[in-house]
Amino acid sequence: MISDVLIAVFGAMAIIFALLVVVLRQPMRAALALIAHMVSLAAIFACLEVHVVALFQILIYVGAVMVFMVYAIMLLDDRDASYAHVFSRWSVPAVIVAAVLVVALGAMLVQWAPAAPAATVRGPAPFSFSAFSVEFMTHYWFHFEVASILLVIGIVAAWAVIAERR
Amino acid sequence: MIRRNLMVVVMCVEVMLNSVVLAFVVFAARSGTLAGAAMAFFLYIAAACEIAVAMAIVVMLVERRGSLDLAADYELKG
Repeated sequence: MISDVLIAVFGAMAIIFALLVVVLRQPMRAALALIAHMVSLAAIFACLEVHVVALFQILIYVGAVMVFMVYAIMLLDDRDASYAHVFSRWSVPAVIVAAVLVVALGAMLVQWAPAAPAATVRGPAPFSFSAFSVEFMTHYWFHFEVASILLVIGIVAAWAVIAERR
Repeated sequence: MIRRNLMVVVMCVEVMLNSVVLAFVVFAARSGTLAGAAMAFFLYIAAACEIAVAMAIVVMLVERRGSLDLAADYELKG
């Protein structure tokens, strides 16, 4: 019951901060709103007892990706034309499409809301670190190796873009 | 695409990726299986690759055009 309330609170915070990312004028403030959005999502994951992903969210997304992005923002010039004219000419159609989508999804949610799962006796937590690690390296070891190749490809691609610049 | 600032557009893509992670985590929590959590892990790897390449492209475009404004890239085609 308490976790349901917390999920609702953090869900509302995540939506508010996601909207702030879209509407805030300064990219640095938008980045801070994005960090708050990601922390809210990590709190939701923790409330859902998927602690492994909550920690990944903080360590990888907030700790690595967003720090990288904040550095990139600091490298760029803040006297840009896009700071004065924030929204593009596609703003009105985009807002209309988003409103229609929200109404449609809300109607679907009201009409086909899933029933609350019956209370069952729970075994050991499937998302503890040890259970996740053993299960992951048993079933997903090949995907993990392929992912490491993808990371190398990403590094080479970023290097190629930088090299092409010279 | 309602914003003109390239950095904010990249951040909006990150918000979309986060929503996909949320969907996978809710699936994992409701089903009690690790498939959703594993997919979330792989999504983090994809997001790390995406942000590395995206930041390199952003810096390159800014150096070429001197602007973060997407309206300056009007000659992009296809």
